[in-house]
Amino acid sequence: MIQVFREHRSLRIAGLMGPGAFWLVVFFLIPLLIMAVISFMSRDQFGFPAPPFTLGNYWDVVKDIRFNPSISFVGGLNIRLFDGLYLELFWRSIWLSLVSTIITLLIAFPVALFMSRLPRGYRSLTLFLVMIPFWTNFLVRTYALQFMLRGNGPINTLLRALGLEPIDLLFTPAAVMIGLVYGNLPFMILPLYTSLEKFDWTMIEAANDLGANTLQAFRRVMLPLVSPGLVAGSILTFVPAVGSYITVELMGGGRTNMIGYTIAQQFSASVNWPFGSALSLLMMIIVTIAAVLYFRSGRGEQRTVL
Amino acid sequence: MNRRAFLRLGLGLSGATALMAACGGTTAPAPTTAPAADGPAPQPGRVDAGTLAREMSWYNWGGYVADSVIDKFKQEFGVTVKIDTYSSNEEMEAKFKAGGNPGYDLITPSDYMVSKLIAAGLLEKLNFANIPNFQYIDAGHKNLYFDPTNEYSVAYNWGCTGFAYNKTKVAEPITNWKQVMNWPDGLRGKLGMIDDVRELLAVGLRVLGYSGNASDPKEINAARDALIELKRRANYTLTDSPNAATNLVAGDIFATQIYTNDAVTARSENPDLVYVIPGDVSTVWQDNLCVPKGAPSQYTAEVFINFLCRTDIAAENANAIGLATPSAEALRQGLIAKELVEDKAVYPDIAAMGDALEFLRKGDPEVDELYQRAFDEIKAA
Repeated sequence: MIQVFREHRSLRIAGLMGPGAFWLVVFFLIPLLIMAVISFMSRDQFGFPAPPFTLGNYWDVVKDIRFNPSISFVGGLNIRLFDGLYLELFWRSIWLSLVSTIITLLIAFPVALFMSRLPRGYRSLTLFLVMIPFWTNFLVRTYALQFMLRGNGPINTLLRALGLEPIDLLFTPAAVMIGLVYGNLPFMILPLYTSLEKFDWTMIEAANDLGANTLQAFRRVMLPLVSPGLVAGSILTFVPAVGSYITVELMGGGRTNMIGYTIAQQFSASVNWPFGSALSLLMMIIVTIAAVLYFRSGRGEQRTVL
Repeated sequence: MNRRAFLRLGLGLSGATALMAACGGTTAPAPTTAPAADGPAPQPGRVDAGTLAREMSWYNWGGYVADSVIDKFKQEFGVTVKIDTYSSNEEMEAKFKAGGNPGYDLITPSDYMVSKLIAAGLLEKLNFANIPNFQYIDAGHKNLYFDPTNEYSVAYNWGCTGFAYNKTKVAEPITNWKQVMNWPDGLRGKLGMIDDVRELLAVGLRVLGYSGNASDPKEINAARDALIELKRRANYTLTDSPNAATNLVAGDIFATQIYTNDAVTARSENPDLVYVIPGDVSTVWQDNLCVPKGAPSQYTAEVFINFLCRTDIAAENANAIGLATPSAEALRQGLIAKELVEDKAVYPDIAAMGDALEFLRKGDPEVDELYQRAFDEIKAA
């Protein structure tokens, strides 16, 4: 058997790729296609997909989009060119996810850097510590986070003990942001750590010898070399953030809505699978475009270095 | 999320004492009277043991039956009842719509869902010859709009969507939804509403004098505008009812729209909480025992339904889960805990309230879409 694999390259590839490909096709690609088909269907009297085929679900997403430029200062500078219920929802989801990705990155980078500089034994220990939260279900961890932010939770108890005013944290956009950063932190740390661990620090010395200051060495030597980890971490953080559901529900308290939550509702409470499928597909397309643009800009960065 | 157990999880995190109380399961008041001796005796003789399955499975709301009741059924009939749980009617419906009955003998849909399941041909007609204890169910809980000739369902529990508030924080006693819609500015951010499209919009509709089942876009949009205005002023949270109870007990909100069962649980954690059924029209709902098409053993399910309707069992169950029982006989014999029976919010006087209690009828996709759109607009505001 093994001999056969050794001799036939194509069989070998099939043997290695087969299980993964099978899994992806059966459990990802086919459901995705089914979802795409459903997004063009109507609802039967119970809200489930039924013929005839229609573009109505997509029309429902875009029909209220109007050109209506506006500037406001509600919650920071708000510049709007268009109005539209779902457009706004997509935009807010992407914006919040982008901000959460940047915050996650700013927190994760020093941690990953620190971990990669530790002696070997300590590195495994810190890696282990980063992964410990995965042992607990995410829903339960989110409830724990809710408890932390409550009016009578530890944070506000501490504030009171210090003689400070307690602050309303839970059910604010800040709470959603804290939840997103908390949940995605390990996904940023791990790829960054992998890149940084391989980083050859003598390159920094070389850069310094050639006249670069620390900032220049960081920007023009280190950053490009760890950019695979940076890109992977950012995508692993941004994409799930856009579609996040539990965090939005439990930390936002219904005051901060994101597209993932609205989509989930179409499949549960409001039983409108076709509309939910259309929203999901649009979200996938938007996120894919954002990710591709990001990859492109990452490559551009490398090119300027070389 | 689910009918009862979910709140426990949230409360458990807010303190070891709450957790211990939750684990102790002592929150349900004990019956004030011992089961009366003249209660109908078990009648195993009438049950055809040969036809009974060894086990049956019940797809039920989480925490929606007393463990002791399941144990007793096993003792008396030798049947193990396996329970899977769901957290919404739609979740349960989707399971049946997606691939047929996955092997359940019994389900517990709410009112409007019974009519949807009947229309979709997903329910078996019950053989009431196997359910003689159906006679103990109050007539007010039979032949309701969703099963007009009562062929498919047996009432299991009922309750309302009312309003709970902390009397130490909300100065004025709340008795109607108009007060909620005129929420005081001083309590901004301390109001909760239920994250359910119909329950939320029903409040807006009813305060404006419309039915919670309005289908006129003008009425729905007027309710939407009122609720957006309230959101700007009061900045209410939108969470599901068990989470609202947790937030209320933790003190993050002072008042919330809430289901009866969650209010009873919350109140047992904090005696300062008051639960009312606002007098200007509130939602009433009823969960029902039904046998889905393709049930492995309809007969076993019917024997179990009959068991649940037996007066002593109905009482034991109702006292444990803290909801209103439709068993007229259990109430007549005084088997239900005083704290529950005497609480007009748990057992509102249906006859006296009349039109002030309203079922929410769902299921017309076009109307549902109007509501959903209005709901999304409220959430985006």
